[in-house]
Amino acid sequence: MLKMIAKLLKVLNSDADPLQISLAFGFALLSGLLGFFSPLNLLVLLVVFLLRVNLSAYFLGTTFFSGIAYLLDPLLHRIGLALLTASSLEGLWTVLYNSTLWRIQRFNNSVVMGSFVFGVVCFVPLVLLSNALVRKYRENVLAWVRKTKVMQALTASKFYDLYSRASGWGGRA
Amino acid sequence: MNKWIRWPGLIGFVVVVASSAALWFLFKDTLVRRGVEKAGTALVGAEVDLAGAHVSLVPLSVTLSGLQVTDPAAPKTNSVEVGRIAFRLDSFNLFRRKVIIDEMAAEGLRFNTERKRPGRVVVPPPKPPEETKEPALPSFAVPDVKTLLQQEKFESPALIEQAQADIKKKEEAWQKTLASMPDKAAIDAYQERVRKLKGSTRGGLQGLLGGGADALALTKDLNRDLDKVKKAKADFSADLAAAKALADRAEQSPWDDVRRIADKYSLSSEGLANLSQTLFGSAVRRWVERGVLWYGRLKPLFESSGEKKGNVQTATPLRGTGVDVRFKEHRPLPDFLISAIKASVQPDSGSFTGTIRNVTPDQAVLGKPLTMSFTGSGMKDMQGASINGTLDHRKADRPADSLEVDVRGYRAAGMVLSSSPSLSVGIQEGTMDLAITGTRNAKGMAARCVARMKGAKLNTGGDGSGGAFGKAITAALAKVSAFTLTADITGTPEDYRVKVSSDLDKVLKEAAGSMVREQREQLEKELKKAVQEKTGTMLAGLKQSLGGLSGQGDKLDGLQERLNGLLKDAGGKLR
Repeated sequence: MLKMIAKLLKVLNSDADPLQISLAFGFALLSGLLGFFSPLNLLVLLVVFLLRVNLSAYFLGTTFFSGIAYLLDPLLHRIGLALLTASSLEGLWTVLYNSTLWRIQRFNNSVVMGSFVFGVVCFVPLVLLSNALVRKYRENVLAWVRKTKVMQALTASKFYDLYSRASGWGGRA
Repeated sequence: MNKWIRWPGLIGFVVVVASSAALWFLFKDTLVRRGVEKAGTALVGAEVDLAGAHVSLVPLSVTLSGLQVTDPAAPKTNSVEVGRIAFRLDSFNLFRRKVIIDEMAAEGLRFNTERKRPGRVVVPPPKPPEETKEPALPSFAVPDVKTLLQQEKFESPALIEQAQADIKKKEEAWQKTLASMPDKAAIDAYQERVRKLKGSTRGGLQGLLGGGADALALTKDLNRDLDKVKKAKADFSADLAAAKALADRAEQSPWDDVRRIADKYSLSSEGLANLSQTLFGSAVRRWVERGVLWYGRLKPLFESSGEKKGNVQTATPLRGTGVDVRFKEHRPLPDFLISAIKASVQPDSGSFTGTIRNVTPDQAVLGKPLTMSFTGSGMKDMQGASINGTLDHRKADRPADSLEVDVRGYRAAGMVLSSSPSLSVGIQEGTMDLAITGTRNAKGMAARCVARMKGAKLNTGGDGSGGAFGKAITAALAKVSAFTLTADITGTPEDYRVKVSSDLDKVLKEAAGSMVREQREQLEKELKKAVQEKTGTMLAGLKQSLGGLSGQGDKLDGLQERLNGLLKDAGGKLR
């Protein structure tokens, strides 16, 4: 847990563009809800690697949202089932159901559909919210955090040094 | 643009995907093995182990070896063990998340094998209800009458007492009625009037006329009293008849008590008539329980758990969470289908092979029911066997299952027919012909199992609590060499009845019949003695009361006789 908090602080305290971090959280939400090994997640992963989003924030966020997804399963199931059984959408689902490409995605599963829709709907608000929070954090809390013992210990570690050198990968613009 | 695009990331993506694919390729056999174990355990409700799995990608085929399925009811044994299972998967349909297997080969099937360690039971089988526990043989020992008299309530003393009180009441009522009848003074008055009438004939014409008027008045009075007595007599006859019936019942009640208690504590011929149900009912019920348990556990393989929601169908996937919603397909195909499983049991000699067709939870989509057909011949333990069955669940609300099993010349050595603690019965040697027919539909199930035993040698044992009765049964069974056992099962899989009958019943009844009669006679004798002591005095009192009531009738008779005599005298005068 401490490690996670430290990692998060490290990301927040880095020079990475706040949008790169918040986008990473947005994609992490999708990956966490869909499941890391789901076929649809391959597409998300490709986008994450191609776009200059913060990878540390992405992997950290994916771990966090994967845990949240277990708690949200009953809600996601209900959302998915409501959409899949809506008579107005039946024609669309029937077409997709007969397509191998879509069947691979397992879109007709209530939890998969619920997760996808919930993830897509929450993507933009989460990106905007986390972007605002990162900015606020850097403006108001960063100076205080840098003085904390945890942060001082982290910045003094060899790992941080390595991380700082490789952080071009980690999302520095 | 380049500010947002990270081209080296593409390499990173390829590396991650390729690494994942390589890892999957390296561990695919382990992943499949664990997947089979997990899915199998969830399906059966008890540990499923797989020694190894091999996945070949081109063409896509899977070979499983050393499959062991723990028996949920007996975790130290495997209900089934399969040496090798091989099948080829339709890879195109696998992308559509449909597991389609044209032909599966299952070799080296063995049943009820011992496990190295007990298997884990995830869903324990339901506990058998109380009635299915092994019944003890009825005891032959004559129960202690003194104890019985303390335990059992005799109804006869209260009945006799009540009857006596009722009769006494009637007697008192009739005493009152008789008091309202013409008494001695009234009779004397009538006699005086008759005497006067006789004297009036000597008074000439005037005397004659006056005497005629008196005679008419006397006759009228006498007739009125006589009618009163006659009516009272009729009422009394009815009362006396009721009192006699009451007394008869009361007199009979001690013997009713004796019979009731004797019935409760001794074996009746009805009880002996179906001893095979007592002896073998539990064993048959256990076999049925196993069948019903497996039918329930394997149901997801041939019956969909889905439900209709509007125009679409929802189904709980065999693995994973949520529900899969099914839409109309251009070319409908079940999500899971094994078109044919060719299974072969490896007996020491001979062969036992069969085919199971259309294994799918989506029979409605496939349009075909699950069928199975097995035949065996020349085996060490049996001459021949055939199993044919259909599990038709194409219409979920109207299932139509049927099963026919025919086994010839099965060497039944070691088979346990009864494990009752008071008398266990097993087959030491002998051959059995077995015929099972069963059906199950929406209303319930009905099955009949007929086992014909030849050249049998039965071994018996027990803790001796069966006493002399147990010994008689044991001696009778020792002489049995052939018998037929029939079990009829009716009801539903959740609530069924097992009725066992056998020609052994006649043998057992003959063996134990005389002992049972003697035991009953002795018990009845002792009970009669005890009940006589309790009710003898009371019955004498009852008889006395009845005599008292009858005495009231005699009085009425006497009164009627005297009134009739007076009437005759008065009538003579009138003429």
